[in-house]
Amino acid sequence: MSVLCAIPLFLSLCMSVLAFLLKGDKRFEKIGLLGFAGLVVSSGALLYYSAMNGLLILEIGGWRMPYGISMQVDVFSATINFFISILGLCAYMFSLDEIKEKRSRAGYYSAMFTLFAGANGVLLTGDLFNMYVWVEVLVVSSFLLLSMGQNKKQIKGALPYVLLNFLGSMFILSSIGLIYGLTGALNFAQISLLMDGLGIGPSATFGALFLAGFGIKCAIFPLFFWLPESYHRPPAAVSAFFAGVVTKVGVCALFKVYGLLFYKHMEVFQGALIWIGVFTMVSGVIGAVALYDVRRVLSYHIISQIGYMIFGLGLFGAKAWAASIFFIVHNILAKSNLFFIGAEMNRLGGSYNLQKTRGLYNFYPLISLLFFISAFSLTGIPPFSGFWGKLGLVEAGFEANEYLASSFALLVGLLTTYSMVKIWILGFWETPKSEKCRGPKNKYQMKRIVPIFILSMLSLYIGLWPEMLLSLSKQGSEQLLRPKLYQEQILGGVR
Amino acid sequence: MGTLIIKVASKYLIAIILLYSLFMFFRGHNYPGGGFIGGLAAATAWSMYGIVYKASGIIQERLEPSKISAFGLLVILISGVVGLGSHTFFKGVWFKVGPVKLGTPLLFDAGVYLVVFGAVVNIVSYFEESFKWK
Amino acid sequence: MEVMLTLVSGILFACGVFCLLDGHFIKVVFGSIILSNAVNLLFFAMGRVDRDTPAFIGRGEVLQAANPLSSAAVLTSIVIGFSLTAFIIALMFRAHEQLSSLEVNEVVKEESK
Repeated sequence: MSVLCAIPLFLSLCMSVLAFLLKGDKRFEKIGLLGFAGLVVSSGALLYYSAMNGLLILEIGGWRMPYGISMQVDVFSATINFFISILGLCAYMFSLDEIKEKRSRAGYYSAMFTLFAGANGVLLTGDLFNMYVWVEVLVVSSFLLLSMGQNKKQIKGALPYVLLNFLGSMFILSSIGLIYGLTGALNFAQISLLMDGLGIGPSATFGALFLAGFGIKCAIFPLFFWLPESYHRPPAAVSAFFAGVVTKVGVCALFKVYGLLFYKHMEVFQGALIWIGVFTMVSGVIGAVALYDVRRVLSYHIISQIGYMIFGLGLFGAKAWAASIFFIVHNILAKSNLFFIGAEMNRLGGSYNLQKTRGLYNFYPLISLLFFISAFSLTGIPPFSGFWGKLGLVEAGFEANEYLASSFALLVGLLTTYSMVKIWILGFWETPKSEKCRGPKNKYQMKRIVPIFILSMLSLYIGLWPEMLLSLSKQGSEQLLRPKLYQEQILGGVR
Repeated sequence: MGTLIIKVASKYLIAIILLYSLFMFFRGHNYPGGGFIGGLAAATAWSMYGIVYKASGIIQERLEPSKISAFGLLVILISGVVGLGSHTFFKGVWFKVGPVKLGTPLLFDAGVYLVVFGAVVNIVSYFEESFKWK
Repeated sequence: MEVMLTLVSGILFACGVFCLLDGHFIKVVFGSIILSNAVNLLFFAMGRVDRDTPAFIGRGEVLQAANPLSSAAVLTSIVIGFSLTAFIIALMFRAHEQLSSLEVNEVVKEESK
């Protein structure tokens, strides 16, 4: 049963190789769809078994822990992995329609599968250096996807992203090197055991380096300036799964590292993390409120939502982390869906600019309804899924006596509502202005509308019936916050 | 591009470097060597061929080094699955063929060799082909 | 021995960051190469280097062997750094073709709309 740990990873890599060898071939479309369906099924099975058993461990190559590399799947990782796989399936379906021949021949699908392989690897591995390797796989395939197309604006978007990510990788690697030098181990459980003996100095240094490194990758306050430059330039399917995968995996890696390695001296980081979260939220939403291009607005919203997750990370309690996990999952579904809907707005309405595209509700009520679900889920209005996440975070903030920071969280929620309402009113509700809007109705494309429908329905489901996801989040956060249990299970030889 | 000296020397050098890369690859398990350096040496030989005889375009088109790289990754994945029936992924399964022991680590290293070779030949021949000598 | 290696790594970090902040992209690439070398050297030094420790020991010998894990990690990290550098150079090649200039201020200038 523990063999299941490596199957999503293996499947993604096999599919990536097949996609490369069959570059530009039309026959690959069905194989890719089967591949992503297999990924969803295996991730779902992994989630089920890890929730039943608590922790699934696989020793690669049969080498005993802690001498070999192992894969350790806890409930938190399995949950995020499952929802990322669903996002992958939807993004693949959307890409089949949107991506033209030229990109497909340059290896787009291969890079997409490698990106998901990297995401699976980061979430499912139990070895710190192995996690760095999969982060690099994720990041390099995102470089490929971002700069495919090779015209001027792609290069302008790709260069800052590449260089800043490189710097972040160097921070992460130096931190891993220093951890190895002081503890002599690279396995999460082993390091967690040995960090108890070290003082506050090492924990503070390594935690700060990890925050800088992963912070660049997940776009926190002073380090997010690459995101608005680069996320609005590639095709919408790429932006959507970047928004859902790349930044979220960075946040998940931060959760894992802080929960398992630096938990003992967390008070050093709590204040910093909470206020970094607040600044990230506020700067993101101010950017979103000021702009009229749908893609740029959504890119700034990514930053703002990451701020909420960092805020939850800083609060460091079981309730706050459970709320953060729920929030991450809700974001994966709702945020990516908004990018897909933005692409549809462009195709049906004629432009990404809100001042030109108006009144889509008159001809396309289905898309408008799906936008309504995702957008107001993002702002946190009950009964949609964002409400439960934000409620949990703000409640945990008030319980931890962080009144000012939680009020900022609520204020940012208000500004997010303003921004989404702006898109709704200008884009969907008003009388149509552009020629395309007033003209005959464009037909819905099956490959484009089905992914949007799936993501919206899932988002609605976890909003109206949140019990299952809430119980998974609670289980995940409790596991992360009890490293002693983790250590005993892994080093005590439990399979 | 090549002067007479390099054209004559490369005929011998390329052969020797290719043989040496295979030698380094096969001795990698118990002595210094292995897939990485073997792949790099073979890529050096091919790059030298491409530069001296202006064959970079042909290498890109006919050899398709990026597909060799992808095939190498496939070999790596296959080597991981071989031991799956008895143990876990990437278990080292050895068996004797005459006086020689073959096993999955050798297959893994062969995959690494192909990946490194494909990647480096791809990079060098691409740049060599499109660079305009002033 | 580790002290000297760490000092050199620190000097390389300083040089790398200095080059990374330059106004011309070629120097930025050099800065990234130096920085990745600095980090690799740091990782290697953390594995406790020593004189006279053999890399391979015979079966049953009770000797101290050299640490294999730091070398393996640095090998992986060198390969990753090399592929990242190759990508950055390819991107800059394309940028030079499209934008015909490699000054940082020219490349990140917003087009006036």
